[in-house]
Amino acid sequence: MNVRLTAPGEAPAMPAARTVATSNAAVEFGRVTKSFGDVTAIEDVSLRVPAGEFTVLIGPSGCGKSTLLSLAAGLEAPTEGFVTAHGREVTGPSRDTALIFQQHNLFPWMTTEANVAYGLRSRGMARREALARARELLAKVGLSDFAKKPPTALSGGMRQRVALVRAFATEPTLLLMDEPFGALDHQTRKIMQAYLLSTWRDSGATVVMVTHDLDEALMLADRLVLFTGQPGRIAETLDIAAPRPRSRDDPGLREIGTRLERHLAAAAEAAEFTEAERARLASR
Amino acid sequence: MTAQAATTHAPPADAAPEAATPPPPRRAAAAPSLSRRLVRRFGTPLSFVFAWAVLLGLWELGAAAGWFSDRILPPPSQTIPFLLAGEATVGFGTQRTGLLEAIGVTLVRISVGLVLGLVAAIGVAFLILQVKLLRALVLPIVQSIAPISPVAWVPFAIAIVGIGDPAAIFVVFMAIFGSMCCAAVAAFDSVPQEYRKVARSLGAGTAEMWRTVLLPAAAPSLMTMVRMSFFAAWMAVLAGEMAGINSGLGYLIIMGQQMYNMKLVMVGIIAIGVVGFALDRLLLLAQRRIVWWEDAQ
Ligand SMILES: Nc1ncnc2c1ncn2[C@@H]1O[C@H](COP(=O)(O)OP(=O)(O)OP(=O)(O)O)[C@@H](O)[C@H]1O
Ligand SMILES: [Mg+2]
Repeated sequence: MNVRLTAPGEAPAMPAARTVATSNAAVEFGRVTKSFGDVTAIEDVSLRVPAGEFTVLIGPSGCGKSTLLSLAAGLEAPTEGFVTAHGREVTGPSRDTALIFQQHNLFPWMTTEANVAYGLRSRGMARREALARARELLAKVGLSDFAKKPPTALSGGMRQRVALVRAFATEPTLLLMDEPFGALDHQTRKIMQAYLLSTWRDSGATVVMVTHDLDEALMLADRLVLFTGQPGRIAETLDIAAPRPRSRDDPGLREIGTRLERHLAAAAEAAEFTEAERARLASR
Repeated sequence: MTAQAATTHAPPADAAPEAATPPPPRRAAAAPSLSRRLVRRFGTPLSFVFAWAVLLGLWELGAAAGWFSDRILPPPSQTIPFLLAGEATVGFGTQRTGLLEAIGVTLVRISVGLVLGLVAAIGVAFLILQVKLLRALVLPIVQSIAPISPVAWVPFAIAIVGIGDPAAIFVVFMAIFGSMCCAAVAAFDSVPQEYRKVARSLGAGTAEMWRTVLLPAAAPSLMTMVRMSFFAAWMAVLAGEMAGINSGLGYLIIMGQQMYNMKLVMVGIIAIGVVGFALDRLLLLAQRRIVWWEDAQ
């Protein structure tokens, strides 16, 4: 079996000070708690995301996965604990980090090429140059014909492809994806997964991706981080060493899949029902 | 305005029903589809003209039959020649002002008031969004100003800046600033968080965020707000002109009342209706141009 399990108890030892972080971690969460008012989204989460790896976060709804990404992106600050990127504390949005959401969030008031050029323009590249670069990038994914069209003229899959191109345009070292393919149909989703894998391999970036799709997690992840709620904590971390391209029929993957499925079902039930309700359901 | 979910490739509106109906006999097919297309194309303006023709016809008839006094409700046969002869004027000698001049005066007031109100509303909304403290301090005041009737400002306006253009502009401004500002704050507040997150993570600073994300994202609501404000401003300026600002279209109507010249009043009302309608269409056109991406969805 090419799988190694880490129980939560034996999570990697905490660095003594915030400046001391292991160099190969693209992102590191150190005993992070994040509260919004009196809601604790995540509690005491420690996680190292090794550079260049593909990490997938999976867990029931509302367990703080999106919050974790916002923290890594520097869009939120932790209530307790620390977040570092390449050993330096995250204090705000970084140029090296890109975000992708379930909705493509392309700006409908700009052409497709202007959308892709947006990050380049923000970094001070001249308009003409940025648009030319954007067209080049769009050509690479076969969307040349749509460069001058508004995103509304694109299909759902195309839009998400453009969102990926836009995110990669600035050559980020860290890509944070929040259920990026959740809104796509099954076939398009598989194509996008393959496209993401190849882009990721070429770029050498670190990817942290949230998904609700177990199958997707198993196909993509180097490392699977399992969450429970609420408040969100890490339940388990799995390394998946199966070589890519992976097959859905790989017995090793299927075994992990079945086990994860049980875990997720239990966690979802725990999130949906109270203790008493569960007892009543069980007694049926 | 989460546009993402909406798909674009809706078939042209008229394609579906025609495709669905079984093909009718050849000869019959051409004629009805042509007339239907005509109705569809000119239907609204045609019925518009028709409805008015009926109303004016009845009016004329009523006046001729003596159902009501033609001195109080002058029929079209009196009003239109009066209008065309350029007799719709007030004052004498150098003070004399005609209808077109009155319209011009009122239009300048309303445009200046609208532009100032829009700029101020967006400016204050910007501050309210940027500075938390201002949201607590300024927003409640803006919200309380919004529902005050614009005519209530006329005494202030006249006391502060005297009668004439500045007073009228002041009244227009006060009529629309509060509601525009509240609407602008709401519009900026409802820009999807994801847009901001994406822009920030792509490296946009505050100024760039406003210019490239918040303003365009809120533009559809802002344009609708401008159109609504136009009506409020239009009412306000006329009310102000009637209530003491002694010039403009509203004043023309009040003079008509004082001279017991109902034709003058009627002409004033026609001008208000026509100009107001035309300007609203113009704004609608501008809206479609400015927020072009909204149409496509
Ligand atoms: N900005 C915020 N203000 C207040 N509460 C928030 C905020 N963001 C998240 N929360 C709360 O924190 C908890 C975790 O939310 P989060 O969106 O991170 O969960 P999630 O795991 O991404 O869920 P899902 O799978 O449904 O996307 C939820 O209870 C949510 O209500
Ligand atoms: Mg989420």
